[in-house]
Amino acid sequence: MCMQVNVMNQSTKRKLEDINSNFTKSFIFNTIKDANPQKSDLAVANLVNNHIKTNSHIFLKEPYKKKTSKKNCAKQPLSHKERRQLGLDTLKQGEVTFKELALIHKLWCEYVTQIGFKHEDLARADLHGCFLTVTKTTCPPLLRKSGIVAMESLNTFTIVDEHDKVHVLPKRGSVFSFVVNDTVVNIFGNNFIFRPGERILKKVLKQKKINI
Amino acid sequence: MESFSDLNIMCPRTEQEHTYYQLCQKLGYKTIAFNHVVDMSKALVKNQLKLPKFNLKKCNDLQVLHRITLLCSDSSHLRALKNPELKKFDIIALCPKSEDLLSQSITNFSNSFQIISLDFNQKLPFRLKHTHLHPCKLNHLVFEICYVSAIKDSSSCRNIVSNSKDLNWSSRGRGFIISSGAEDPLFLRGPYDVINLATLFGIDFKSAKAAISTNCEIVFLKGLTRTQTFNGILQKSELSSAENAIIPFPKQIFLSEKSDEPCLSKKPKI
Repeated sequence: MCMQVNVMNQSTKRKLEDINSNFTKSFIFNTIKDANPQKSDLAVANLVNNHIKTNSHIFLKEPYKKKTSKKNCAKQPLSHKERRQLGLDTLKQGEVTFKELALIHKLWCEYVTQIGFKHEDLARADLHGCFLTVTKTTCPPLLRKSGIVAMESLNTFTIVDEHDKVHVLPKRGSVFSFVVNDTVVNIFGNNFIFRPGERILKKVLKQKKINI
Repeated sequence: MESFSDLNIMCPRTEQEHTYYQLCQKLGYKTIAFNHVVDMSKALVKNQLKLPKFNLKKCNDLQVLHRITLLCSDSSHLRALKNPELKKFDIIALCPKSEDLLSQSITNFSNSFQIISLDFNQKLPFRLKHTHLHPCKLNHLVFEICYVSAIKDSSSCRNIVSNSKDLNWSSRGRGFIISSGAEDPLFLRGPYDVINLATLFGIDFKSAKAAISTNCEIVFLKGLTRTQTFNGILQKSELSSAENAIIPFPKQIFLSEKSDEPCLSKKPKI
């Protein structure tokens, strides 16, 4: 007895749902058709079917989108993801030779002598083309590695060796030094963690304790 | 082995100098600081500082530093901290007489000195709070306890015990050093003897050991940033010194423009 009652109930439910769905379908179809009469019947019917299957929202009118012209696209800079995919932030092995960078090193030597040897100016100087060596580290295999700086980022220097090898040196936990006109300048990497563009513009550099 | 250090020994006469060196090596210290005490109300004459002169021999095995303590009783005395002549001294200590001076020196002049040495022989005129000590920890400032008068007098011993217990409680066992303050080589004690004495003040073994060894290193390194470097970022030195013999130059073959010879190094194939 119990089974029969259940079967009866399910069949009546289905009939009621069919009637409801037909009613809702026709109601939604008509309202969308009234709102934008430019659309064809097939396109509207697809929208309604999609709505019933996936329970997604339907807009009566399509939301306003900004049109992007080709001129504006050309001005926009590359996004961070695109730069990474193109490989602009990294140097491949053997991409740049030491001989090519040696020309930049000559220009850099003239640039530093123009600046002068004050502490405040040297802290803001550009280091691309400088001949750096690692003099103290917490990481022993990096010790005494030397080369010309090809790239600088927030946390690293990338260096090209005399044998045209590319090394990436982390700033944290090491002391770098270079020689200009018989004076040695030591850079404490722990407190040197800036982006190269931001460091030049900074007016006040805070005092921090050295670690090594 | 940790390197122990004693950062407060009163500046000796020339006869006593050698006995200090021998005794400190025997006890196991690696670094020593000789202290000059200056009362700012007498030393400041027409806004000019009179500083003591020192002339000490160097010792090979010991690291000998020079320290100055300034007794401040007025807020105008704090301006003298920016005097360039103070760069001669490795360590600068302050002794503020009131609570206002203490908070003023921590907020405005925290980069120009290292140690706050309060007089623990008498009862302090104010109470040390955690609000004073927390910014000290961020700026690498350090408090000081001198244990000499605890050995000498029984009356001042009571004050030292109560004051140092107060400091230990409010600083949570961090951010202070223990030093001797000895005027005579008789009153020096070995480092493990000092740790034993510190347990009487209510300080743990661990934090007492840090007060002799690692916290003293912080003081020394902060002194180096003040005297030798530009804000801890850069340091200039001469090429002729022995430390800089390691630094290589780029070879001239690569730098010369006229040389049309191929590079000596092997080019990796792409």
